[in-house]
Amino acid sequence: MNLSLFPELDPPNVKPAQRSSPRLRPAPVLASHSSTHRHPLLWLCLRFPHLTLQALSPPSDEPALVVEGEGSMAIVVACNDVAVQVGIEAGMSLSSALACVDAPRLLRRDPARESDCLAAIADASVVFTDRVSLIPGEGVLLEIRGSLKLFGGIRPLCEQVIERVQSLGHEPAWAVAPTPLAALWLARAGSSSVVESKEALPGALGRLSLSCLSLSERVLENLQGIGVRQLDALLRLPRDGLSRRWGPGLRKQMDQALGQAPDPRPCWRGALRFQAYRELAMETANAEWLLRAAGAMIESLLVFLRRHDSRIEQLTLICHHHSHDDTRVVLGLLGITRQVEALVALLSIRLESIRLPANVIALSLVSSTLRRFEGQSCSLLPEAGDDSRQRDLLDRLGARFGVGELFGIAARARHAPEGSWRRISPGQGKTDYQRCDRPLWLLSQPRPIDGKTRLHPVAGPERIETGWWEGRDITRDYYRVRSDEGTQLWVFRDRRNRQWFLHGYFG
Amino acid sequence: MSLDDVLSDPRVFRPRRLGSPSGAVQATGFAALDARLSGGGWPKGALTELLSDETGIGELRLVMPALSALAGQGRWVVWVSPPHLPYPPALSAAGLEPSQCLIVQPRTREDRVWAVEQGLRSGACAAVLAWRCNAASRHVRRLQLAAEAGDALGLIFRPLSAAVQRSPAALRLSLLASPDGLVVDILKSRGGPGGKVVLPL
Repeated sequence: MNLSLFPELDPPNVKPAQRSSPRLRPAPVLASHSSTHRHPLLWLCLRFPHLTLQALSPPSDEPALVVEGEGSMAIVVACNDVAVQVGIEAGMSLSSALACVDAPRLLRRDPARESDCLAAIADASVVFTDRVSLIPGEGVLLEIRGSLKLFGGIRPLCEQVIERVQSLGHEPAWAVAPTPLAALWLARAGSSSVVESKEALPGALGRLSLSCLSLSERVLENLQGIGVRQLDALLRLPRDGLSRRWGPGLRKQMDQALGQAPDPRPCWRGALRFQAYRELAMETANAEWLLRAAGAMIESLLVFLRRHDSRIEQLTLICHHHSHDDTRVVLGLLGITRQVEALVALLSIRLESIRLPANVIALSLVSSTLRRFEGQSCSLLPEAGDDSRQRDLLDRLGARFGVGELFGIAARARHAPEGSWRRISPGQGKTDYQRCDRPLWLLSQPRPIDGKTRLHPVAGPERIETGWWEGRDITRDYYRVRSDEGTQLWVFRDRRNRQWFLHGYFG
Repeated sequence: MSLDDVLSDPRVFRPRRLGSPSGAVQATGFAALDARLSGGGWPKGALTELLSDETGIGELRLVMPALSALAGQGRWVVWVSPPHLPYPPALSAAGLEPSQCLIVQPRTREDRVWAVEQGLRSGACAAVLAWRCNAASRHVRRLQLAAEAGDALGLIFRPLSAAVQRSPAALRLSLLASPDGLVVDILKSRGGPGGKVVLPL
């Protein structure tokens, strides 16, 4: 072995005492540094302008608005194409948006879902390069210099990355530049440009508008006040004056963008999740034995969760069989469960309701990705507002029944009786649409009644004529009637075909 | 037959068991009915059976005042297998906030009984309303214990034919429609005067 290639490994040159003294011998880590000089880094920035909307998977056939803020302060932060066509744009207040469209689908902004989407994109782009970095809430950065040869150059590589991201359902704006910040600014401008060398950076960045930078409102106004509208004008200003007038932040941003100051980016390491596998001492289909084995794994799961100060929303127990497909037991967790007994009890409810096709030889426990743990302070005495028991109940019912068999209800201010309610997740959202002339029982479908039934009118008619603008038009006369048996019914006559229908009971 | 067997028979009148186990009641909102019930209202932490064959005679309007008063304290109302959809605009007009209602529609009878028991026992629910839950007598006893543990109002809706079966429920009413209103016949009320009431609903 020729050790002279690796001088730092050459034993005759290095004595242990010398190694620790930097004055005698500089640490030999410059190899990577010199290679960066020969092959400067190149960053591909993928930015997702519609992330807020796409993260919530909105409907494409009806107007959908993503809303942030409460009450009269609510602002539309994003909307889909259908909403854009009727004149809604991001930044509008919700009340003026509602003036444009009758009943849009309102979605609340969900930062957790957005970061989940970015995490999925980062996971998918790890196949192109080992250096992926997240820009929270905005996009991802990929260092692509090392991958150019393998994928055949910048353009083919970018095309493949974009194709991969599009297959996840996201439409990126992208740009390539030698520094991460420059790539981000170019992507914000939406130019899809490629800048390969640092020397070309000032020219390429110069054409950008100042709104592409991350500047505060005040700085932006000040700069525009002195006539700086594009980046080249800003680059011409003396740097010292810049930092004296607007603080060091602006100057640092520009230096980082031009590659004159370091801009370290944390590497994406993938989403954390818990995984455990355990072989059983003997094959069994006995739920009690399985639970005992699972209990030990759940204990280590909880230790893992405590160490990461996290919680999970889903837990999957996979039962491995000899010659059958694995049985998967999926457990949704709403409440924050940190007790082994509670989780085992939930699991036993779930195991009771399934039939194992064969004996189990091994178990795996897989968690969903970790979420930040948000603790709750408990009061000394139980209060009415304490909703941990309610989440507990939901966990138990949800473990046994599917989502379709378990739901909450809310009223919705619509004229059409079928439309004035909706399913919600239990305990969420309040509504204040009330009508005392409505029946307590509503049939899921109006049921035709023959004209021979004797009914005595109690109240009515109430004409409901609505929905003609969206093709679901109804035109009905509703009556509250009493039958011979003494039951009170809500019936209507369809004014188009003169047919009578039963639509509810005054229970 | 031992003495214990005799004493555990619900047909044997034992003054110690008067009223609901916890003794607390929730006023029904109808003075005429309250006067005839032991303690003057629906027994809390106990089961009540409401027997009727018809939908739409006022069976929900009968319990609505109590439900809205109970749900006002922040606990939920669970509906297990309701025959139709409880209509939110009407619920909130009757004073019951729809978002405090949880609807469970299990497919089998065992699941329904299980869901009722979970709801009653959890302590998260002010009341559990259940339909199509023709539980055996020992199941009803289990539900009764669950209601005591969770301090919940258990309202079990059953057909009139169940009147001939015995039941450990604390209160049993049969509901019939009449031209003057709803006829409430108190079949069993631990310690109450009992009798018939006509409520103009």
